Amino acid sequence: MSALARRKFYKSVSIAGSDGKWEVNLDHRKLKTPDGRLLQVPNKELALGVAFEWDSVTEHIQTSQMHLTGLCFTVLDNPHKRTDKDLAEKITGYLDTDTVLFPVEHPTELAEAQRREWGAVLEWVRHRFGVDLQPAESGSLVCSVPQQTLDVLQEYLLTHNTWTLTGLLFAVESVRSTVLPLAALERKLVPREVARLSRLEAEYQADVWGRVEWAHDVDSLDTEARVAAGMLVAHLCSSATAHNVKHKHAG
Amino acid sequence: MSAGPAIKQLVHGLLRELHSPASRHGVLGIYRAHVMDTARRFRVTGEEHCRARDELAHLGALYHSYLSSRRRHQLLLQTYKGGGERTTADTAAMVGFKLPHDPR
Repeated sequence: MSALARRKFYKSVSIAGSDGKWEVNLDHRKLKTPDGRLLQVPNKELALGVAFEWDSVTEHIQTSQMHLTGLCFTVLDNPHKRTDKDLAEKITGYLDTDTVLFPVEHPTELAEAQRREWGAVLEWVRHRFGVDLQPAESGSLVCSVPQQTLDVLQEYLLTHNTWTLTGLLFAVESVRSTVLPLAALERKLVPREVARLSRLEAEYQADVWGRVEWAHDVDSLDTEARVAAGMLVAHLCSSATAHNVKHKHAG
Repeated sequence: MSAGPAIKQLVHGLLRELHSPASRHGVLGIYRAHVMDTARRFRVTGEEHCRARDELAHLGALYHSYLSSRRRHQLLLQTYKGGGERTTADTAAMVGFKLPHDPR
């Protein structure tokens, strides 16, 4: 990885912009996306977040570890040519193999913990969206999610913009669950909880067999960082937050 | 204001993360100023439940979560980074052997 990473080629990082168009400068050169577009983000906070990632580079630029930058690149370049509808479908597409719908049978301790902790989140989803969503039958590889549940969730997702959906999808892909990031988007869970809930089995095994820092901790921190980055972009760019409305009036 | 101390803690946590040794200058100053300024702006609200302030606190918590987990993740990666392949001489030295001086 480090062999492919570019060396740091700039000294100072700054941001510039106003009115919903913020840019990041590396030594008076504007930061551009891999496709050569100007990196323009809708608010100062996100621009600062991206700028801090570039500012904290010491030697090699590893964009794979700079999630805010990566997410902005994805939204601006849209390499997979996805529409908002595609994004919403992709997000709900994780439901039938959702981590939290597949509790184990053995060992009993783990099974109980999964049913209790995941059950609480599922209960919240059912209540919040008024949908039916049950854990898979034991032994089945795919959970049959009612079409009505998918429709309701997709309709809800389509009330969000591309930035929010891209952030959400990034979080969904890192925990292989639609339910957990959805709860985070609705501010029911924080990223650390999302990461922990998505790794209940790994955590249980680590407790039984011993914890290895370079595997377990690396994994859980990476998951948390990805979920947090996705949620950050989702919340910062959501048109629904009072924070952004305030900015709009001020600008 | 019940949320007061929690927010104070959050701001301190954020400023600590933004004080990473890798970044000594540049954007950091603007960032710290922005955090302080925003925190100050939202300090003087008389309302018990201020929606905008709650959202802001949530954003702050998200960013803190992102910064700290990313920093710790990178620290672990650095600590356990492989040193690449060992040379024949290194491998031999591990078991107490030396290579012949003139291998042909």
